[in-house]
Amino acid sequence: MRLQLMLLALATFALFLVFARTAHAQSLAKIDSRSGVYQDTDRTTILTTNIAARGQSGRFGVTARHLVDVISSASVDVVTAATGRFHETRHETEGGLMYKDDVRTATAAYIYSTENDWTSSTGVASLLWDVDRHNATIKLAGTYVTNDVGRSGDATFRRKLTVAGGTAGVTIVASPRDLVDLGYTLSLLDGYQASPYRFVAFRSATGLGLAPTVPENDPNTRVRHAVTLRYNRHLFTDSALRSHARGYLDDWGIASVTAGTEYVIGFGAWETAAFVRGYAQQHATFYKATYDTAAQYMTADRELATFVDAFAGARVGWRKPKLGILDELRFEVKGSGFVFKFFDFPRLQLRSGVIAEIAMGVAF
Amino acid sequence: MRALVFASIASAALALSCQHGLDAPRAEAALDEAYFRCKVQPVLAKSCGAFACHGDARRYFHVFARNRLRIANVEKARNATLSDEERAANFEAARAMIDTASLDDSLLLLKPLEQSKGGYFHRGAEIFGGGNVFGDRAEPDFKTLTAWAHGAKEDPTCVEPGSDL
Repeated sequence: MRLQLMLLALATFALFLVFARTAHAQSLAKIDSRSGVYQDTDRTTILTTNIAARGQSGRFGVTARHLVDVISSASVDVVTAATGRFHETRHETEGGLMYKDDVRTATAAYIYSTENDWTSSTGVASLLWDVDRHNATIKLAGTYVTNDVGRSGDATFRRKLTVAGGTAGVTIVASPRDLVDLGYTLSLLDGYQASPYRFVAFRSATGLGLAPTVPENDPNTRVRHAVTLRYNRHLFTDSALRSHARGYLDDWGIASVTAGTEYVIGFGAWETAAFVRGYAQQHATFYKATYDTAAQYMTADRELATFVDAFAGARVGWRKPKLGILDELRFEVKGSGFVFKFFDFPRLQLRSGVIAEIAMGVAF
Repeated sequence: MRALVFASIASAALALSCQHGLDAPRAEAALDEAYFRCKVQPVLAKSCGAFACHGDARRYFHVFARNRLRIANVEKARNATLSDEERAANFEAARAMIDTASLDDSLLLLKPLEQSKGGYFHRGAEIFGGGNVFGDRAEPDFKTLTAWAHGAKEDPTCVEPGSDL
């Protein structure tokens, strides 16, 4: 299925390029690839490769993308389930269409993702509309995702999770040097949101004996709200400060804030940047490090705990226009480090790691 | 002052946006201790408590039994009769696997039942290749577990088989 989808996406893209080249001398195609290595102190390694292609002819365009994650983990969750290190591969394929005129850009895409115990289908659509002589852009986007959740080795375990969401936002050119973007995202989740691999221990009402355990149980529905603010400020002759902040609330009681900034400097064909990002989260109402008594909802998911994290890193890029038959050739190398501090997850209080990425792109 | 106002608004928004009752206590099944001790415990010891199975303290669901898993991991005491704490631990572990909302769908019943008979996937059946613990619902031991889940009672003075030897 995934191979068929990938082939279909690539065939569509190839066909489009042929027609685009024939129809328009100015047609543009871009191909980008990015590979990364993730390694953390929770004994998890992820190798990621992403290849994306985009072609445009006049007002219409197509996009295609394929991502492969190769995951190897013996994390605290895996060890707690009394199983050994697992290895699995996730494939994600995307195909999309685009329309663009002087003031509007509309996109629609379908994404299919699969791994041994999870399959998802995603439909996304967005509309960007320039107003006020291109000084402002209004954005509307919608997402619908269906997930089939399984359990490794268990053909009888099948659960559904549906996600519907929408984003509304506006980007404003506040001055020749300032760009401000404000957005709101609403997501509605309905279905199985726990993990079939996690169990929770609790004290029984009698208080006798050792703590019994049960599979974790999360509420079926969840409403998530996020507000995002981005601010780009052009500085000096060829540098910029790109900052962002995000506030998040959901009806599980999680509240979080994210803030980050990146300083970008250009040196002719070279571009370098340093970035930092911080995140703080308050735990879900029903999350507890240990449960004194059985509760209707109990979870052992550290992502629902109270924690902070920080990412910092740097990247260097190089871009060369008009190189032989290519309109552009570009490379980028990026490295970042991170640390997570969990305040009420005793089995893993600290997690740190590194991410290294290399990217290459061409336009012709 | 502004920070205080912002914090108040944020707190109010959080309170309003939360689902209610997410941290409510879970109703635990009212199950008979004597029936468990004299009828269910022997089934668990025999069918679940082998060292390679749920007689391993690393398993989420584990069973204490004579000459198998013991709280005091001392070899010369392994054959001692079960302590009150071990009995209570077994009782609570089994009770946690009872679904009060749908007794017949309880993990304690469906996990060891053959999948073709409506049971759940059980890794033990796959690893040891001998099929699941219960081939069908008519097996006496399965009926014993089912009866306990549905509230069967036993004389409180009953003696757990083997505990007087």
